[in-house]
Amino acid sequence: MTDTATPPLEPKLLRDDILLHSAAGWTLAGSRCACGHISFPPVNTCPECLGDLIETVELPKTGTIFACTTVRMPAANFKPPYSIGYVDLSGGPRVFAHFQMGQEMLKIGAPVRLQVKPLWEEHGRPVVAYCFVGFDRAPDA
Amino acid sequence: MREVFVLGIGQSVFGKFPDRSVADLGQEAIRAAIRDAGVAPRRLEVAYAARLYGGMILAQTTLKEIGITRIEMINVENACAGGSSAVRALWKDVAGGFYDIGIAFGTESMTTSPVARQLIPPEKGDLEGQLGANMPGIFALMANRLMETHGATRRDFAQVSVKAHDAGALNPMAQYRKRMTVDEVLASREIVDPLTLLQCCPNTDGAAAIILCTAEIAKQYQRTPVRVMASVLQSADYFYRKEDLTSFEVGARAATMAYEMAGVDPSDIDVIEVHDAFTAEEMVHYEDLRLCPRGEAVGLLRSGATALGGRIPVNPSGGLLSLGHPLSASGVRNVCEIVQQLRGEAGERQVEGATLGLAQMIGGNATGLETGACSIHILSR
Repeated sequence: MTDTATPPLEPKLLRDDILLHSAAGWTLAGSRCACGHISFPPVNTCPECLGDLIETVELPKTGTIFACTTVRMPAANFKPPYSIGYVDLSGGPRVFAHFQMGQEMLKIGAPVRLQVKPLWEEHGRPVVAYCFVGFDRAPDA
Repeated sequence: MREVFVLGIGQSVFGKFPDRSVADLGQEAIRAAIRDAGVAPRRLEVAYAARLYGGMILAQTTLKEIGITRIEMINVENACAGGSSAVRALWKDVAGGFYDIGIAFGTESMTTSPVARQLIPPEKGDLEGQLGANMPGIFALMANRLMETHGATRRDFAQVSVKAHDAGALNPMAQYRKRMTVDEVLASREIVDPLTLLQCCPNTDGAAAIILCTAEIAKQYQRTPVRVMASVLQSADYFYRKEDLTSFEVGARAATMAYEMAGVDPSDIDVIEVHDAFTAEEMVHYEDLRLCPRGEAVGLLRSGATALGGRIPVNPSGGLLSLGHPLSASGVRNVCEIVQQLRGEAGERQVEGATLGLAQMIGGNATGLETGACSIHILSR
């Protein structure tokens, strides 16, 4: 028993291999093979050439929506409605996306940018993951 | 390789039976298949049991109540293609000369599974699953692309469900035997845009079983011999190799292999059963099975060609949408439907004069892969 208030729990990263933090802020972490193939999420063996000369690279932070939908039933980590889909990163791979943007902007071809922040909680601890947002919203900074 | 024949088929009742175990449901289907075949249970030499959400040694615990022990038994999981994977494995045993007769069954209790009342998620810890992916979501994204690339509309997707329920209303084994209109389908609760509740397969408990054997045994028992002309099972490729969501590479690949193995053309097929867990995907399967040229699936649906009475009826059973979808049972059940059609025993939903039929199942979802597995069987009489 303690009589002090419980301090808020430190946020944790969803996974320690999918995000990179540098002076430029957060990016998705990709695996670039010597053959040029880029994978996300990161891999140890290139699925294209089976090579293991893999370098971790920052993936582009912007892209366009390739496909999108809004889910109207609850998921393990989200209350409805929430939106998911795929984003074609600018000059990069196509990645699965959780979207946090208005329905009016959620359309194939719409430009989006990466945002890294707590998206849900596990036992009271915020979990930091990635999502994509539209461009007309001010950055959370 | 030896020729392989279907000796018996069986299905349990499909519906919501939370008080019944997967073994109990399986036994109902197995007893029906044994009765249909007319063989003694102890004549069976090998057994495959498919289940996604089941316990340990399901084949053994199911078959012991039927008096079957002391044979080779294998338990199989391949998501929605689990049942057809079991059929494929049994086919290999008989074709390859390892056994002369055996049984494959699939059984599932969705109402008591860990995913009951949920949109089926990927395995725990899967990245896309953690970010909110689930089965209907993946197929809704396919629908989103079909609207963009094929000019498909929400009414087209709803029409797939209307067609399924028109057929299912004629099937005494279907979970939902109720016809509905496009407007009723669209007015049902939204699940994942643009798919509404009546465009998603229901939660279903049930089982199906099939007995395969050699030509020699078939001759001793059969009224209407149905031969397995092709049996194919393939795993999916990496997601990054996919150009668009409007085709399953593994589906098209398995189809090509199956047509080649059977020595038939898509235009030769009289009746088809496909995985229609969510309406939009049925149109993708039309193109992957080459029922029409690429890009023309919407036109094929609108023409009525794939409805009962059309040029190439798809899912005369009612499909997963109306008949119900106990995941691992469905891949066995839809082969059984083709057998019934080829025997001319499909009652009010009979495709007249059907001599060649195809059953397809596809399933599984994981980050990095386009899907899990696709299995195709072609049968003839």
